[in-house]
Amino acid sequence: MLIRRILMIAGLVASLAMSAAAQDAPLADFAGVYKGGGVAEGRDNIYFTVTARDLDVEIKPKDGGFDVTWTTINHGTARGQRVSRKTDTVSFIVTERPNVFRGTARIEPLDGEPYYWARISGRTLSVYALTIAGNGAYELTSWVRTLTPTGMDLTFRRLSDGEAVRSVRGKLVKVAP
Amino acid sequence: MRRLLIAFFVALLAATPALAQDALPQGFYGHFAGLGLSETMDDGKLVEVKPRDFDVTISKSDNGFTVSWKTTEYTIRPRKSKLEADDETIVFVKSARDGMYGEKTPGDLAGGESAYWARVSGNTLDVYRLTVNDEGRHELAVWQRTLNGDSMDLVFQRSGETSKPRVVKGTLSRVKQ
Repeated sequence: MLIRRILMIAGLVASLAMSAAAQDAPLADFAGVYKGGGVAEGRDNIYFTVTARDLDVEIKPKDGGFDVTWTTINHGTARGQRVSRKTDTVSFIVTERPNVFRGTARIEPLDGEPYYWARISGRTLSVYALTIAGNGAYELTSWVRTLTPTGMDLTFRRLSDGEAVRSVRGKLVKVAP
Repeated sequence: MRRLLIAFFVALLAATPALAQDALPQGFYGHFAGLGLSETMDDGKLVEVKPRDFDVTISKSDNGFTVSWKTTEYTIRPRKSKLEADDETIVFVKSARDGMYGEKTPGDLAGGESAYWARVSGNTLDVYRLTVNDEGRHELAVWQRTLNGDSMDLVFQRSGETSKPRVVKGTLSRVKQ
């Protein structure tokens, strides 16, 4: 009888401790290929403060962590401005902290390469990149992806020395698992 | 006479590397103390103002410099007045980029340790600290110290996802070389 009570209390304590992490969506829920578009606003280009963009992303769980591959096509709106396409892949591995991940690349931020980390909170996967410019100023970029019934909402933000220089809000549809 | 000249140039050559190793303008080295005000914002509104005492000691170290600082914050309320002190020592070493310094022993950012870097520009020394908490949320702090003779102006700014934005401004005076 006593043992059963102790086990029940232990189970209750364990379940309470895990409840916070349990409320977070599992990584597998974010897996898939998503396509969509959004609107960018910023002060870093006076000629097109509003830009049409495609914001494709693929999220692949791998060894407890995941790979994120994203393509951004910047159509621009100014006359003579070329369409540009940019694809990046970053791998993340688990850390000792639940639902916090670090980029696998061994990076020295002072060399100018971005330092990546990510977290899952609720139905949202946030990816961060810290870049330190040659003059010491920092740029912090975040991609916040929240699951929706049809795909995900994306909020992209770039801060330069604490000031917002660009943000993009977009909607993406899941097109492949 | 020739021997004297040779001895003089030998001494000069021996001294030159030591001078070249100085990371900061000479005036930064020493112990400074002073006071200022801490202003905390919430939702764009000023919600708290507190007086603060500052102490900072900057000394030369191998291939860089060491910054030790102590802050004492006063909370003044009837029967609830209190003092809270915080201190930290960071050893910075030269990076591959001019005027940029990283930690001698870099912390594991995604693992819960803070990452520090510094830049020197003229009479201004900026120290940056990025912290990622257990949930993966970040906080960025910047200490900007500008030297003006034996006086040092301090502007501290804190921003991010884990705490309310804060700005602290103060002036310190040299108390010891």
